[in-house]
Amino acid sequence: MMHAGVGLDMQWGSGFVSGVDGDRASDDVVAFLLAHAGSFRHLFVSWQPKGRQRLDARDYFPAFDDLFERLGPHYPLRALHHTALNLGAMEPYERGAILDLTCALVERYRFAWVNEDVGLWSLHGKPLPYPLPPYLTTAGLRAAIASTRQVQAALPVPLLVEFPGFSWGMSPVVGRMHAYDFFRVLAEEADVQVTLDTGHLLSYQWMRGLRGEDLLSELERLPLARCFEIHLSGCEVEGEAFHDRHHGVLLPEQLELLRRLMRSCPNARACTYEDPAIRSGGRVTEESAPSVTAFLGAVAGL
Amino acid sequence: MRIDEVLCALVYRRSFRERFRAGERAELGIDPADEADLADLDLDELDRAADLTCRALLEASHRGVGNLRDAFPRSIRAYCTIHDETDLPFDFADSQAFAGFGRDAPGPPMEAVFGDFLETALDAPWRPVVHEERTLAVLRALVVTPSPAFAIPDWVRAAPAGHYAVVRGPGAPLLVAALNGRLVTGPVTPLIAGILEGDAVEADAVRTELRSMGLPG
Repeated sequence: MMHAGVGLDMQWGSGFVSGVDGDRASDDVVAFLLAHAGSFRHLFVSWQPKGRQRLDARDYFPAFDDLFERLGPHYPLRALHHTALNLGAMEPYERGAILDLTCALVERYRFAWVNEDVGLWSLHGKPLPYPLPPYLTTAGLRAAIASTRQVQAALPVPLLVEFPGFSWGMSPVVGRMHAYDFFRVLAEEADVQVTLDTGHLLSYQWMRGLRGEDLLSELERLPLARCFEIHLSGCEVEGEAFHDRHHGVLLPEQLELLRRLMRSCPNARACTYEDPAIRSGGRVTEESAPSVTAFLGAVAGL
Repeated sequence: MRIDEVLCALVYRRSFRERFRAGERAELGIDPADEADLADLDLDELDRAADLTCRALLEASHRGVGNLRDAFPRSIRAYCTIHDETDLPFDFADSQAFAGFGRDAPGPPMEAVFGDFLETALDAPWRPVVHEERTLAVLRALVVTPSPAFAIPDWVRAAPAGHYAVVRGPGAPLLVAALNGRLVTGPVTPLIAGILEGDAVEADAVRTELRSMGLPG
């Protein structure tokens, strides 16, 4: 049975807000979630650093407490999308403090899983505006397997590794390994479940020059039996550029890929519409409303 | 160089990218064994990623401070009188000051590193301006982040109620302090500046006044 859910990138200043009365979830986000509680069963929130203070889970409790208190019994299944595990890094990367924080959040909010795109979220401690693809090399694969095993061993819930994005403008690819093979071997060797993001998969095949039906090819190279979750976030093609916009508007190819993955992934249970375009009052934009309807229809098998 | 070090240099260092594009692989220290894995690198895509990444260094906003352009307006204007403004993100990312950023954890905050870069890039008369903007930026960061994950620069001193620094320039010394969650700034006399910087001065009344402000006396 496949369940529909929603994922929100909770940036500080928009998703979570700080005021004189402390930290809380934005009213628009809560209004959206309450209005759609009948459609979506699960919710993931993306972890974003609140600032540059030493990592301490207690700094995040007021905002997360507020969000889940206001949601009440809705969204009984909750998960955490991470942004700081840096699973693709080859250089030494200290994860002790971020894993302690993650475990504290998992325990307090009973997150059912944690996921993160396998990519480079920083480079030798230097910031990146968007994650880069992992090193598609033998050494890069070894490093990603080791990091994934380390993180999974530290977490009390499953770590879902997500196929990374290859969007135009942030995808200089090092290595010649096919990314689907890299990802399959990573999942098998680290023995983890996976998230398949339709936009990320399409962006990879688009980057390789495939178009039309070919964009949906080679799915058998992916770890389909290990797929637990499927993501759909708004994407756009602009000339020869494929953009993972996260703007709420889905491409028809994403919905078709969703249908094929639902048929091909025997253990997939969660299908997540990521980053709806929420406007004032919690309504979605007119441009993205048809995508919400189409997404729910596809998950329901309509 | 390991291949991850090569990618890091390609993304942040324009000079490295240009030499890589010119085929100077051996001169750059790239291991011949990694040549095959770098052979298919799309250099146009690399340029786009480097462009986005380097510009983001100046545009990324931090709580309490804003971005580097907000924090260093006068220094950047001075930089633009002798350099092309469009070069600023790339010159910074390719600088000696930025090379060490992120190498050690905890390391200095980006504002301190950017200040170090500007200090080298600008002529000596501009240094007091750079120091003032750098000090204001770092102390503003400490107002909202009293226990930071970054290393507090050694020119910032600890106080019972927070942190402070004294900026020396052609005019009166400037005190910049993050005390009890507030930014306190203003000119001080040379005597008080000296006391704040640890001079042994017999000035009991001044010390008493400083203690009343939450500063060391």
